Amino acid sequence: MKILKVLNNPIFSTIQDAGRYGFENQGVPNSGSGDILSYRLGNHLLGNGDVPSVEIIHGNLEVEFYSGCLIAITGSDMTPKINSVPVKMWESIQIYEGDILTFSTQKNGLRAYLSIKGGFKVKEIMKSSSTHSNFDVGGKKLAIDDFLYWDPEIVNFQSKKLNIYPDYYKFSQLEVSEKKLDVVKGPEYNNLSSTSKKKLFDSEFKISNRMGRTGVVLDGIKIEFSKNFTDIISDGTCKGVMQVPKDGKLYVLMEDSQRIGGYPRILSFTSQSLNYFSQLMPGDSLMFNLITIEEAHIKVKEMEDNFFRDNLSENLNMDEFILTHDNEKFTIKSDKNNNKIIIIDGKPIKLEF
Amino acid sequence: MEFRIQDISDSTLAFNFSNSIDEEVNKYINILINSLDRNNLDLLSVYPTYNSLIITYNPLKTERIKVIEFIEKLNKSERKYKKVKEQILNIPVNYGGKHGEDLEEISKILSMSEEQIIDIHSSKSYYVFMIGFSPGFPYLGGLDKRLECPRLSTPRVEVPAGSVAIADRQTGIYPFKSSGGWRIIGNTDLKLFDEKNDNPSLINPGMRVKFTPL
Repeated sequence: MKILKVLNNPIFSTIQDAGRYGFENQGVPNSGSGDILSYRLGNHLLGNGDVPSVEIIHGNLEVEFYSGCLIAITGSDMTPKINSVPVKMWESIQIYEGDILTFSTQKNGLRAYLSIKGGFKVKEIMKSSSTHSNFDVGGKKLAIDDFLYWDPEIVNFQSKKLNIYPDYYKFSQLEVSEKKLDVVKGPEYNNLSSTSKKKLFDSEFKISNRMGRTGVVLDGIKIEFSKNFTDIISDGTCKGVMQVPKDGKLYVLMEDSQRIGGYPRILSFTSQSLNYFSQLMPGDSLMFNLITIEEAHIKVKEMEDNFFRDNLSENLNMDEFILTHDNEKFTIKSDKNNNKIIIIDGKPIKLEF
Repeated sequence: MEFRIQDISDSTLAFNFSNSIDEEVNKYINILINSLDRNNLDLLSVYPTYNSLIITYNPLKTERIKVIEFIEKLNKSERKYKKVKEQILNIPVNYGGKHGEDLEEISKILSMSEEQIIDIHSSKSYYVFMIGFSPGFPYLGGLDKRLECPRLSTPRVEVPAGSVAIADRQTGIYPFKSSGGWRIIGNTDLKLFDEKNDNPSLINPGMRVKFTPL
């Protein structure tokens, strides 16, 4: 059934999941959520797997809900409001029929995620619901009067909040010298000139205006290679990889990029740092911190433990929850002892969870 | 076959089998891929490039060393691979005129008639090394030396879908309308990529394609 209607033309909001894998041999980019950490945390809050969510880039999205449901907003703070009242991020939020949810512009990062209990119901194309930003593969960006669909879920709901979450606000306020993101060496790193190798790690780089879900061009020092280095034969790439074309600039491949590239691959963000990088906006500066693959793997496991193990607690702010199903209204609320009660036609029925 | 291991990122490995573009090496990589059970290690991506086997794994689920051991074992057991029968896909092409806007200019550059160019281009089959650039775009090797001509100095903003093009010693087909710097010599009506199919790309790595003038 229809769960919401898009009320405006957002700048760039798309349906994304964990990505489209397994079709690389046919030239299909992976797509998926850019800040996979925030995307997963939104679904984790709602007890979902990697189901379709809305990725909101640059904010500016307005939607109206057709039914009560449970949602979560994660990622960058875009001042989300329900019926003009600000709502908290990083916790599950009750939505009532007719609620209007708005996102204004981004404050501390590029991307926010809107997740719903059970996930938005979007047709899978090549085993994923993710939208690609250039090719007509897997849907289009959201536009005014678009509807999103949903299968009503009335069982086992529980309002939760995250104890800790990635602090993009704090990260955005850091001095550049502290704004260091982990990188690992790429296959052609050793072909860099010795000057470039050194300068890479004590120079600042700035996100240019040439950026999107396909890639991000960084402004900064000109990267040079040792004299005997010649072009590479086109070879494998993936999101997070930094390539250097003839102009000596760093081109960071993002989630919608191709998996084959013809430029030297000198560095790559890690599975952990790419989440933070994906939140940077034009004009933001950063520096690189070189680590080994082994260290990167330890950090990604730490990230998993910190954010996904015992990180949920009961959200006591929850009062009641109304749901429409087959034109019938159900009200679900907590009593004094925090037992969940379902009310149908004004008669309460106690539920065992 | 000997290979070297390269980490493209903390979750993508390249098993690189050669420093040059070699059809036999690429065929060997495709044989390894076909005999590899990706569910075995929860692998996310497994695909060939000209001379590498690329694997993306989830470091939370799969240890890097396990991926390496897996490929080393596969490489040993596949030392004597069987030659597989090659599949040849026929691509009907309308050459020249409005279908191949650059054919006239190429004819001038190469001092060759348009008919000669069409004859040479359609006289042999081409090996598909890999698919990339856009979904379904085949990297075809072995364009006749006589047809070697440089890319356009300014890439076209819009190359029509189905365009058959040449550049340097390569030829390819654009499945989607996109920008591109290759010289267009013809166009095919075949739908090269259909996202609704289980196997969306008409052309796959390891195949051969042959162009037939209409």
